Amino acid sequence: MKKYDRQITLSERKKDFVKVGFFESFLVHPEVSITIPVVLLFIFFSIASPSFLTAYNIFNLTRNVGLYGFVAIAQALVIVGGGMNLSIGAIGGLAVVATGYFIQVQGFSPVVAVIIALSVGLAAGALNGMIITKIGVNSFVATLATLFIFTGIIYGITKGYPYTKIPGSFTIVGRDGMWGLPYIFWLMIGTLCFIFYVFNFRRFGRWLLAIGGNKEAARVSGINVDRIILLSHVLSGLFAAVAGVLWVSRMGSAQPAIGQEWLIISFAAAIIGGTSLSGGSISAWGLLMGSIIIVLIRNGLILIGTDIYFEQTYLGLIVLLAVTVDRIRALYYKRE
Amino acid sequence: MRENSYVVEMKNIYKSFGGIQALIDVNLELKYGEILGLVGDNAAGKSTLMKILTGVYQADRGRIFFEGREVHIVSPRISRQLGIEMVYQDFKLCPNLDIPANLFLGREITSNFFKTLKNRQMESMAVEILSRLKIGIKNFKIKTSRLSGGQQQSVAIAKAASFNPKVVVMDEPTASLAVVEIRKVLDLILYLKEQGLSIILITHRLDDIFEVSDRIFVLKHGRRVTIKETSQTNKDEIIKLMF
Ligand SMILES: Nc1ncnc2c1ncn2[C@@H]1O[C@H](COP(=O)(O)OP(=O)(O)O)[C@@H](O)[C@H]1O
Ligand SMILES: [Mg+2]
Repeated sequence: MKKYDRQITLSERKKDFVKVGFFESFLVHPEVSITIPVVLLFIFFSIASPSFLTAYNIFNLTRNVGLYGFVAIAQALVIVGGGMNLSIGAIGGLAVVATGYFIQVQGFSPVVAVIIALSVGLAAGALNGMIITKIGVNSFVATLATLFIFTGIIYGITKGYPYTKIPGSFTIVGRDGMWGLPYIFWLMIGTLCFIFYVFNFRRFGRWLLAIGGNKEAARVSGINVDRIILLSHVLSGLFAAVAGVLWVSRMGSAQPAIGQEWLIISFAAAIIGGTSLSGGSISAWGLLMGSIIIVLIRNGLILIGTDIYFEQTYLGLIVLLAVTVDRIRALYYKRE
Repeated sequence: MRENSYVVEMKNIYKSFGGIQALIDVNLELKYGEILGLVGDNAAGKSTLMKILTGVYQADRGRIFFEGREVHIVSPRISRQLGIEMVYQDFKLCPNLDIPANLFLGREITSNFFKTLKNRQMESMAVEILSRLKIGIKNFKIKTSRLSGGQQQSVAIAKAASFNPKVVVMDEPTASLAVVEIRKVLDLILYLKEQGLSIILITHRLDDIFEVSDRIFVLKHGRRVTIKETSQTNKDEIIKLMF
């Protein structure tokens, strides 16, 4: 009897794949809707500017994609659980300062300095997570406060001056590459594969998605919601610190102002990439595409000679567009 | 023979929220294998009493015995470990996850070594669970937000019932369902009883209670009014006791 049941169900499984129309698939699978504008932008800028499709420009672009990719990952990891992290730029800045300080002032080897910088990121993320889960403040308020706390520490330590005595060997990761693309880009791709694995094949990822979808349901299912949220903030801090360290490696100096522009970019890339602002969804492919779009638009705007002083306006408009699409997607699901 | 004929005993449960006394020294006993109907007016304290049993709330005073042993249910995880599951009034599913992910939420099957989720295995087990409970849903891979209310409630019940629980608590499982869907949920409840589960059913639909329950427990303003054999009473009497 049992065997019989099973045969039926297995043969039925083939029919159970979601069948959606061509246009519906844009909403159902954000991966599809996000890839098309990337291709279009790529074609557009290739035609509009002869210097776009040069090996030099592509190397530069993909390096920025790698850096902003880490920033987007750091933000997406907390958005997916229904929160946000306003302090990612400041955490990145802390990691930058830690790297520079321990190399230049303390004379530590770069490896040790990087380990310390990443630990600072972990600790800062843990602090965010503790404030949110133990004190019970929402993530907006908690990370707004730590944004100022961390930024103050950055400027208190550096007085605004960069650390410039970074050994040349430290810039290899940030400036060189393989197979025609920068190491930073490959590192980000590796990290996205990790993200994909975590959210498809790990309990932690599944539980974080569940929390973002319905926190109460997750709680009554026996999930330790606070622990998962805390962990997501720790990871967010870690990846923000990774971005900071890579930035130092690319620039060859530790500028305290690094990270100041990350906030809007992190939201833009994450949301464009299908990370729903209300939580409960994340896509590794989407994060890659979101980061590419942001970098393409910034780079492309310069190449076609628009006024770069308006850049923030463009980014704001992109975010607005992204949240509108996010909203339409949500309404579409409601209608079903 | 069992030394104690009750699977669950709640004794002198007291709970207040700020100034509101939600439960005042309530005693509840659930027999092995019975369906106990829990009725009462709005705000009588039904949900609160059950949430204390499932660890969502903690009682201010009172004791809980499970299979004769005193237990301290400090979180939903503990109650789940004991074998007590709850189906919530507003279906507590994750709308962004598919059916297998919801069914296995909090008790995912993983590989021994790397602790990697065994999604395939959970999927085929989910298909089996749904067909065993005669829940006909074709697209079990879509997000549950795209299922109908009745389908969502069926999944919520399947989630509570399919991992060998001893006690299943259902809080208004039919409240937001159409008539056809209510029928299916009631059949599902009777099927679970056949499987030997003990069930507490909260509903304001007295017809349903009289159809499926063995005993009826009446709660009023946070106090236990009475507990009656369903066969020994009728709707009018229960309504009088409720209000
Ligand atoms: N989390 C809570 N915070 C404050 N008051 C609550 C809470 N949960 C329930 N109550 C109050 O406790 C009383 C009983 O509620 P409840 O158990 O939901 O009743 P029922 O399920 O019988 O309608 C109500 O007065 C309700 O307002
Ligand atoms: Mg209730």
